[in-house]
Amino acid sequence: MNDAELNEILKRAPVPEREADYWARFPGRVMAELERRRQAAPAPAKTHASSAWAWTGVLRMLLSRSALAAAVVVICLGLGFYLGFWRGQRSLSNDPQLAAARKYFHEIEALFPNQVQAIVFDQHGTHLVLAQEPNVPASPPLYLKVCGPKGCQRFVTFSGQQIRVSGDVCDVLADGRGEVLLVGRQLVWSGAEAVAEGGSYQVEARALENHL
Amino acid sequence: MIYSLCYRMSGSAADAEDLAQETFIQAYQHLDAFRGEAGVWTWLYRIAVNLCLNWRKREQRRVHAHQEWSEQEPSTPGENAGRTQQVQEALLKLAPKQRAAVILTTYDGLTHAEAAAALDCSETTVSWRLFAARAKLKRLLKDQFQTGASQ
Repeated sequence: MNDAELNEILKRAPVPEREADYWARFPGRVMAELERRRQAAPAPAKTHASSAWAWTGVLRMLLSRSALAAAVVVICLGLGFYLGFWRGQRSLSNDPQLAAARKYFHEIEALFPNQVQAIVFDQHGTHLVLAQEPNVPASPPLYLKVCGPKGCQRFVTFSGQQIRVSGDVCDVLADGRGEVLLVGRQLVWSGAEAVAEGGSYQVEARALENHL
Repeated sequence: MIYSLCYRMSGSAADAEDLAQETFIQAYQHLDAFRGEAGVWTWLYRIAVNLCLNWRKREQRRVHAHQEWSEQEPSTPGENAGRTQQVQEALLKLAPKQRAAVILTTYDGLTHAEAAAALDCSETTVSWRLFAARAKLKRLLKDQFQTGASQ
């Protein structure tokens, strides 16, 4: 028996089919189990109220020497980015993080179609906000960068979704021309200008897909 | 694909369902570990394979899996059922890491490089595991091949 003949025999063995209903309910079961575990887990000392926020620890990364070196590099890159941003010398279109955000978005959207409400990039890592059901309306993804006293956060989200900026829940709205409006209790920002001030925050918002 | 991988690794449809679900839960919870160097499917395969390997270590349920498999099998009629069962039994007789290499490359069509990324080992290791697995499978499935050839 050669390898091709063995492959033929192996491929003759099918996997028992699951009913279509099983796959239809699969994402819901995953989300329900995540929610159950979140509720079962002891509450952290400082947490966000929204149940969909999945915070991941960075402590274990700090335990390894290589991770520490990587962290130093990340901090240096972050510092460079921060300075460049505040000086207004760097445009979003040249931001390599935008390309990374787009890659993340497409990978995650492929896994959870119509469930992605937001992908958040901040100093704690990458966080995913998913809807319980695949019912997030299809609309062009938006890329937002919000810098405030507590640092910068970047978001991939959609018009009609909510994001949490330093604890403040903000509604994200976009009009037909792609102008973005960000409305929260502490932050009201309009994207009529490319870069605008929102109180103590500095915000940039663009369509995710237009800058690649 | 993840469900199929889990089924072939565990030999149990019920366990495969649990493992597939757990794969996506782990993926969600450890999203920060995905750095984008490999494709998201490779990353998912890696999570699934690790879960299946740990599941094998934790649960010595091979006999139970075979029994369960036999109960499921009437959905596949006739002679094919016996052949299918033989193949699954042969797969379950492989060392788990060899089985994972066979499943990823033969059933899911991953290249050796992709399988190596999913299994967190070198391509050479994948090649050796495949070589050993294939030799054993050929021994175990020799009868089936001879029957098929005679037909």
